[in-house]
Amino acid sequence: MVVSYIGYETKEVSLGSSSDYTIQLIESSTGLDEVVVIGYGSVKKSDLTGAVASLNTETLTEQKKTDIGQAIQGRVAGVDVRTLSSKPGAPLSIKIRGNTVVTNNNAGRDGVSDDLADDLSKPLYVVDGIFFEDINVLNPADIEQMDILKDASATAIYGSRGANGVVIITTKNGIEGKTVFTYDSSFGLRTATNVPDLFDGPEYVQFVDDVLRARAWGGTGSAADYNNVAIDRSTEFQSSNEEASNVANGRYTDWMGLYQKAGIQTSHTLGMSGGTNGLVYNASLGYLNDEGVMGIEGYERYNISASVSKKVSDQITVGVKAYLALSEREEGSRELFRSTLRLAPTVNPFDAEGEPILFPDDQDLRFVHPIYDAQGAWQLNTKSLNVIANVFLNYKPTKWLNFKTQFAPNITTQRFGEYRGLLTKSSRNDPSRIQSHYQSDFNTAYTWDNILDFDFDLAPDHNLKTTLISSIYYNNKEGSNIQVRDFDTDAYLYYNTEGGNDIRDFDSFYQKETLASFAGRLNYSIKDRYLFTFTGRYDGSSKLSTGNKWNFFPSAAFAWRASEESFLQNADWLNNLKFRVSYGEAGNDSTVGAYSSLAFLSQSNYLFGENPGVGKTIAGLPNEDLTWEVSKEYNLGVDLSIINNRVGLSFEYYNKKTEGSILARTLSNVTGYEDALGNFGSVRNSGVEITLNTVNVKTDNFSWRTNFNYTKNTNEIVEIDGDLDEIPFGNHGVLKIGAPVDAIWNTAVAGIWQIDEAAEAATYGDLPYQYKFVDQNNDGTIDQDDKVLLGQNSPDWIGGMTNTFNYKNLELNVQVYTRQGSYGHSEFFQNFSTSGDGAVFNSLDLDYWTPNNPDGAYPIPDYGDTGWTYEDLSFVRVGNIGLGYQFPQELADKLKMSRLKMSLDVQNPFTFTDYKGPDPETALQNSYNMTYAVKTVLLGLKLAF
Amino acid sequence: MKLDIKIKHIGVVLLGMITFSACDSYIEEDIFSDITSENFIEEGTADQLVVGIYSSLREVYKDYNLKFLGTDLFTVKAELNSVSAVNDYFGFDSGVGGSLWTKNYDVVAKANTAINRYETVITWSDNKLGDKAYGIAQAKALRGLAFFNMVQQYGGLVLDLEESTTIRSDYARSTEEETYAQIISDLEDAIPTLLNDPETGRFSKRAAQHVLSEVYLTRGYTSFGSSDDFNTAAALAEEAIGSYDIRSQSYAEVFAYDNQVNDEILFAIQWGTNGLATDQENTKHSLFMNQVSNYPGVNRTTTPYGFSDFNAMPTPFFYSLLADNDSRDDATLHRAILADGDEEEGPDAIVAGDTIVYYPKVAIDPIELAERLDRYWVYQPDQYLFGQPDNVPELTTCIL
Repeated sequence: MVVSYIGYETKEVSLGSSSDYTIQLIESSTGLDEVVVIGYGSVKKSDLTGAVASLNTETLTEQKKTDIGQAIQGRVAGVDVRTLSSKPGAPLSIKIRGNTVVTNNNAGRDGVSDDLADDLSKPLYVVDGIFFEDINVLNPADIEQMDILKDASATAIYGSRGANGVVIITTKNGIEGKTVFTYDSSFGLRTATNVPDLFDGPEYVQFVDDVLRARAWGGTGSAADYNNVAIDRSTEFQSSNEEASNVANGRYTDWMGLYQKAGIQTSHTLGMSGGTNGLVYNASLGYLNDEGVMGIEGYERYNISASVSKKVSDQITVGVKAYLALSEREEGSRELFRSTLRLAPTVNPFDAEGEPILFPDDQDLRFVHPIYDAQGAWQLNTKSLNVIANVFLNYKPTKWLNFKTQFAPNITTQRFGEYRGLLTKSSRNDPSRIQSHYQSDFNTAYTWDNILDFDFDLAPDHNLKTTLISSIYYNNKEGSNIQVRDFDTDAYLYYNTEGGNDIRDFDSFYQKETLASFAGRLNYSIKDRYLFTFTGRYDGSSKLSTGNKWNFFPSAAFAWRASEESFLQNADWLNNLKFRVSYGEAGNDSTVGAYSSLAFLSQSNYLFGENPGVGKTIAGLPNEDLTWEVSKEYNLGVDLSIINNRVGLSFEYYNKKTEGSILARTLSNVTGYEDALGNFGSVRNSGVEITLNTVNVKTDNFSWRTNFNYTKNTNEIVEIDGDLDEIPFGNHGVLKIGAPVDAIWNTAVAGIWQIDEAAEAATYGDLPYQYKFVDQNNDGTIDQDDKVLLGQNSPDWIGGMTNTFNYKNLELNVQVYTRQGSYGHSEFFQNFSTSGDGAVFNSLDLDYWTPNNPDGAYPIPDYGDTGWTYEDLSFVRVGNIGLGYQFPQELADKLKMSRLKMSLDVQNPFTFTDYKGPDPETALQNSYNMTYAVKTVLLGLKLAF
Repeated sequence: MKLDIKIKHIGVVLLGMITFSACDSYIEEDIFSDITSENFIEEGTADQLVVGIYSSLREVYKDYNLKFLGTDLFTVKAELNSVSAVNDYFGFDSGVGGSLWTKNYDVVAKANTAINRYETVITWSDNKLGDKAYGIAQAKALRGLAFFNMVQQYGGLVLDLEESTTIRSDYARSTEEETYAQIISDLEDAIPTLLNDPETGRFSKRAAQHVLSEVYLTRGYTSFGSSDDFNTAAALAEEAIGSYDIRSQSYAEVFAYDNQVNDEILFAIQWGTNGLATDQENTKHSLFMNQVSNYPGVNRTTTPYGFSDFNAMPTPFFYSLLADNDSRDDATLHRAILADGDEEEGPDAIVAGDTIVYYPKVAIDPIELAERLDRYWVYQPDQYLFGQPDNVPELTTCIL
């Protein structure tokens, strides 16, 4: 009997008379026998011709991360994972090989959106055969394997959806054998970490004095004048709420500390797997409860999965799988974090009776006491149920022919409710401002794939594998949205929208898209050494206009397994050497919305005397030629494995040019329309990826392994529209040939004007201790023409390293990752830097300039504010330190267990960065709805019996 | 197994896959949440395209800056040192002066679309041919009106009469003469079909005749105009007046709030009190009102004074047009602002009916002034200009 399993050496056992066998598989050291899922099929890793990263369940669960994004953060070359929010249950941004979409950052806002639906350059996720979006509802422990297709030769099999990489997630299947039960559990504490350093009481008082002094002095006169200026604290420290008295007596409030708390994280996953006589089954039950570090923030998730497959005969196998995820995410108040940071330490939180003071700061009567937010006055709740199912029939009439038909539906229903109660910053104790939102969505999707595989030798040493696919995909989204304001009670939350008097929105929508596809793949190998792969997909989409619906996406790849050549057979040190070269084309489905090729009518009513006249106008030009943005990518790869596989190196170089980037072209006013979308631009992403896995030390009792990855991606705009070479874009950006799509475009800071430069500063209309901007064209004014590229949001390079030390049954791993060269506008700094909001709010403890501190790094408070708040967001972060102890087998046996492991993980313990906000990863976001970075200490238990 | 047998197998399976797999009907779009012209506009709903043109006229006639500022009748209500591009013709670039172009071309584009759909896309049954002709006539008349609004400001225009369906940038301006010819052609095409007495708010035959008369009158003064133009203008004006007797209504009656539909109003942009046609966007009636919320005892909503959100005011020349006995003075100006509510606060309590502000038509003598100022505010006719420096005599003359 031959036993094989992913990631393990195949083992052959000769069967004797016994009916019970225990077969222990050895983990595959080379990884070359691993099976890699490449979309509508799989290949052995050794036969791979494209750039694909494969992660197994061990890797995904070893740090006990509860979200797939977190589990792969910093661990895969070419995959940039960024936390968008540290609130529990928040999805992470995942980008593979850069941003291909020219207008992908939110141009109009001061923060990049937290909503992943706004990211038009996100990868395609395929879960058990169905295109899927909300991967953070999946329990990482339920995933058998995750394969990341990076280059277009690999993703072209997904045609119009493959341009930004494809993540294929396969949930667990049963393994034939006796029933194995597994139980994984973790329990831990989440606490705020990397807490921004704001002024404490005495520092704040000093700061207020400096603001007042700067205001009174106004940048004119000498340093002595500054120090002699008379200041009047009474506007800033008012008599109400004992503020002035608090200052006089040194009584201060730590508002941040009052509303930070420890959250508890609990997770349980119970699994069962086994099978006999061709019937295999797997089932799991998962629970996660994740509490935030402020207020009512929390995330709760239930996962249930079941899969059964039966080999009915030698030819036919049938199977069915179902995956359910029910989750509820409570984001709490969007303002709690910001309010507790803003409130001055000099105002009292509670009155003499211990009751909260409704408006603690008389200087700003928008700030209701944050205690109400913390108690749930503002709720932001998303509840969703995802069902993923999969039914297949596999028919293998002969050894060389296999037919599989697979139907995979996905049904998602989601309810979003938001309630902004009376005592929130939004409502300010004014009932007419109370808001209640209720939004419900119902999504139905399915794919039906028919896959035909041929596998035979054309001649000795010439093997041909052919895969033919026909596939249809259907996706329907519908839903409704209600917003009502003005309630006379907080009792209803978002459950009684009829209770409000001011109806703002009541709407429903329907959207459908369908895709019909034919695809094929040819794998041709000569002597297992020369490997050719050709794929093509012909996609017809409902989203494109009639006559323009079908597009073809080809790819070709070649790999040479040099180590199999006879002249290298004698090189003992060499275990594997493979060169790969590929080209492919794939489209981006996200940038073309459903119906975007059509011109809709918009309502344009009029009045004739007393009679309403129903009017319509045509809302825009039809875009009959609108089509996919197509990424054309070359990839060069080398895989090397030496010294008994103790050193494994993979190197990739890619050059991905996205053509037909969709942009709005401004139309002549003569048309009556403002602009029209078309495929006008082009973007290039090119870069290198290095993955290095080494076994540094290996003795009987001790081993030290290092996994290292490095990615450098360079993004540049190749074409905007015709001869245009520059368009201002959004508040901080530009679309400029040669610049990255997420470029930061503004005046450069040369330093800070000193007192002795006052005369020169005045020629620019500036005052001493304001930023000195670079007059690029030396025309004596600072204006649009002096704007330059300051950097870009996406990092110059990213990297990660995991060191794993094993001593006997003890394991220690330390994972570190970094994003270097990310640069952007910090909305947090706009609010919390010392030159931001005068002295009304508390601020970051920054080293600001005054005549007494001429080496300060930030401009003088008050009049020093020029709105220029760009920050370097580079960081190095220890993602996880994990300690595990695997109980000796004898002990486990006594407990009738096959495995027992305990662990202690500290997630996100240290961050090294110059950025002074709460988290360099979330720094591009708006501080509205922000929270602290979170550190988690987790105790884990893993057992199987 | 031999290769050719395999190929047969493959062929059979391929055929099977193609027959059950998708066809084009699978990838058609289903739309419920929006409508396109293809699935909505037909002879029964075609008039909605024409209504859309009327809607776009609202923006044209809300272009208050270009309408009022920079003329001899109105000026900005601002400090002397401020600069207004429109009022002072300084920095008057396309960003400022282009709004009239954009808004009128919006009307032209919608009219072009309606005409194209009416003439070439919509299928008309015989008994609806009258609707077809009437729709086209309205669209052409409104297009002529929009072109006429523009030609007076910009000269020759882009005479693009086709519906815009593709992205183009090769638009060229015609001469002023060709533009006038097009306007005349549009209006002349429309006049025979337009109704004498249409639904209120629709463009009538008389309105078209009036505009055409103005077109000829204006063209008469151009280098390519002829003296015949003045005769034609006069004849058209006579036709527009028809049997209406101008003495049948007083000036005050013609412009009364509650008499907005009358025979002297040939065409007016329509606003309503609520719902879809709410007039909240329309502030034209209050552009030059006192900001009564600044005054005690005067309610914004219950007095006729309204409020002002437009930074302009009449010039002294405007006031000079109203002779001493001109009845229009009384119908146009609020010379006395009266309280309509009680106001307890302050040294003098105010009761409803008290005068709060008084603007005498002719300057009153110092004794009377002192007596009146004891009771309310009085602004003499030479005190209206804002920010006028008292002590720079040479300047006081030049800003007038």
